[in-house]
Amino acid sequence: MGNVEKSLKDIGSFTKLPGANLFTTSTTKLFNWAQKSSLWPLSFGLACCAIEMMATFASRYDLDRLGMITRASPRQSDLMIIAGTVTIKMAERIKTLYDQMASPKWVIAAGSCAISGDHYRHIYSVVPGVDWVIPVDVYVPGCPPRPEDFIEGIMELQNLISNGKISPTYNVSTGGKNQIDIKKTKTKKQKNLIENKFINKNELLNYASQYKNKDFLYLKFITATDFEEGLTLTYVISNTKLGEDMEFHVNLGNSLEIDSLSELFVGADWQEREIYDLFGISFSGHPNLKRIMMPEDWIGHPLKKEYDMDTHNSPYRPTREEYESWKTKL
Amino acid sequence: MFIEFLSFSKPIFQSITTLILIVAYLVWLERKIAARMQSRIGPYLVGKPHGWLQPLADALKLMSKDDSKPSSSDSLLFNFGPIWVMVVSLSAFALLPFYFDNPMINASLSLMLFIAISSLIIVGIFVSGWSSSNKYSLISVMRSVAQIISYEIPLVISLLIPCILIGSLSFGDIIESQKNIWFIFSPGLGQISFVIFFISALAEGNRIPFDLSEAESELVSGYTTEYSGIKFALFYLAEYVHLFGISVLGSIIFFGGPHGPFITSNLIIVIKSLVFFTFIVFVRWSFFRIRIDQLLRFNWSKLIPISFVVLLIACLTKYFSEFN
Ligand code: SF4
Repeated sequence: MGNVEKSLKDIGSFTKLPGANLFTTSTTKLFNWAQKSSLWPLSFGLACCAIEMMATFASRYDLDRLGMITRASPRQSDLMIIAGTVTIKMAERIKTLYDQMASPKWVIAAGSCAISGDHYRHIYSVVPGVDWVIPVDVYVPGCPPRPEDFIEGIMELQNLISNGKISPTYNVSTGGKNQIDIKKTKTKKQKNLIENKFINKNELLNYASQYKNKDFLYLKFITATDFEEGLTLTYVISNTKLGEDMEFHVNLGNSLEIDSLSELFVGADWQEREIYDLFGISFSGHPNLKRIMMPEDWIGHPLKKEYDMDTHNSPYRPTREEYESWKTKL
Repeated sequence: MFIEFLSFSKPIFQSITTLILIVAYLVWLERKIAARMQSRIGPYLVGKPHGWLQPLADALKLMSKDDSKPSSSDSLLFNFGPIWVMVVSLSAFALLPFYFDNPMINASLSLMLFIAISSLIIVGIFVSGWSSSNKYSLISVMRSVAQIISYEIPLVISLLIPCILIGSLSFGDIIESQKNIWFIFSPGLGQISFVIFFISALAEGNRIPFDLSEAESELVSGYTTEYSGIKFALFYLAEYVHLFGISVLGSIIFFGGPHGPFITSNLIIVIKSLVFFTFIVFVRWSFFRIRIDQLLRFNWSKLIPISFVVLLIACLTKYFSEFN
């Protein structure tokens, strides 16, 4: 009986009567207790923080101890853990999912990215803090927060629920847990680069197909760089049998057009779309040249030097003035 | 009049309350076993010794949750689905000799009636998926219907085999005939029909490896996608009631019902069906989910022919033992 009494203590109170125990509680208290004891989170994660969140659910930390099991449907979940970087494209989905959740619903913003955008906050595609999109109950700082921090955040949320009040800005202090062990990382050297040169724009197709016949079958990547003088494209193709790479560059100068390699290398398809999306270089002969990362109605090509940060068209990004005033407030 | 009604309905209330309590703690048991298998602890902090208040907290929370309904759904059918599923899976228990003094078990067709009632669940499931006007729910119930209807055949045949050998369709006779030896130990036929029964019972109860209608990776959460709050709780509970019903059925038909090694009591049925349920949970947490075409092909091209052959052998056995 002692155990039972103890576990019922945070729901209500016992009164000793002669020959019996009387247990009393109020409905508010009872339902608050029920809500805090079975917080079912929506199973979704956004970036690296989500990995840490999954670790928190798995065997060593085990959130099921607190009565938390993930639900796939937003209708049945009570808690949304925003774990990771919120991009503008994802922000709309987050809003939809949040609206689909049946109330009472709570939000935990976990990780510096979800709180403020962190080191990505100046990037054109990142929402600087998920509270631009939905109201947040508990913030858990860290990059990523450790599982202990996650659990602490959840316990704070449980306290909030059982106290019956929810404040929109509530910080969990991590108490000096954020010591990072900095290790020197060695940069890998590229071993088998057999050639590295600039070629003319017109001989690109010839050049690539010539090397393709020499068993350079795998296109490692295409990337573009915006130098002041103009755009430069870099191609790396490799011969996987011999383990040899070769790299060649094309100076575009002022023009924004070049032949597509997607006929020769199927892998070029998406990479050329990405370059088109971010740099505005159009590839003639490409089968499906559409935006791949940014929303289709996006204005401009964000990785170009002349791209103006203020030409955003999303409600989830602050304007320059809002941003400056907000920064000085911090 | 009212007093009469009360005294008449008292056993019904009693049995429903007991049943719901048992089933609520089955959910807890499953979470505990799952946790054990993944080297976790499972519910622990809600109610101190091992989360014993967890089912209560879950139920209260689901009750207090907002009752959302998609605006384009058919509200009558949408509300009817969960209630139907719950009512049907509970009323199937009226025929199980869960309480041994239950008068219904000696009805001459009680096993038949049990199967007939419990196969009505699919109506509720289909109605709820159809009326939620959600593509995931619809795909899920279409899978569900295909699966449950096709697995009904081997399930019924595997239950017919003991009935033919015993010569009765009533639970009372089946239990009576297993006084000395459980049916699972009757050579050949007993084991084969139990395996068929077990496989098709898993498929009937929508359990892994056959839980295609709730495949989270494809269908959000299947036909319950649009349900929140108490309606979802009804579905959740009904699934476990049905599963427990199947466990009780299996322990009666194949494991001798209340006949224990030393004593004969109702409690033995409960213990046996808990063991059976634990076994189903073990299967759930150690297997993967198979594809819908594999599921149906396995049923129509392997399970059903085999079960018909076994049925034929059972008939011949009966014929030669009775009439020669
Ligand atoms: S806060 Fe750090 S770990 Fe978390 S999503 Fe951002 S970068 Fe990744």
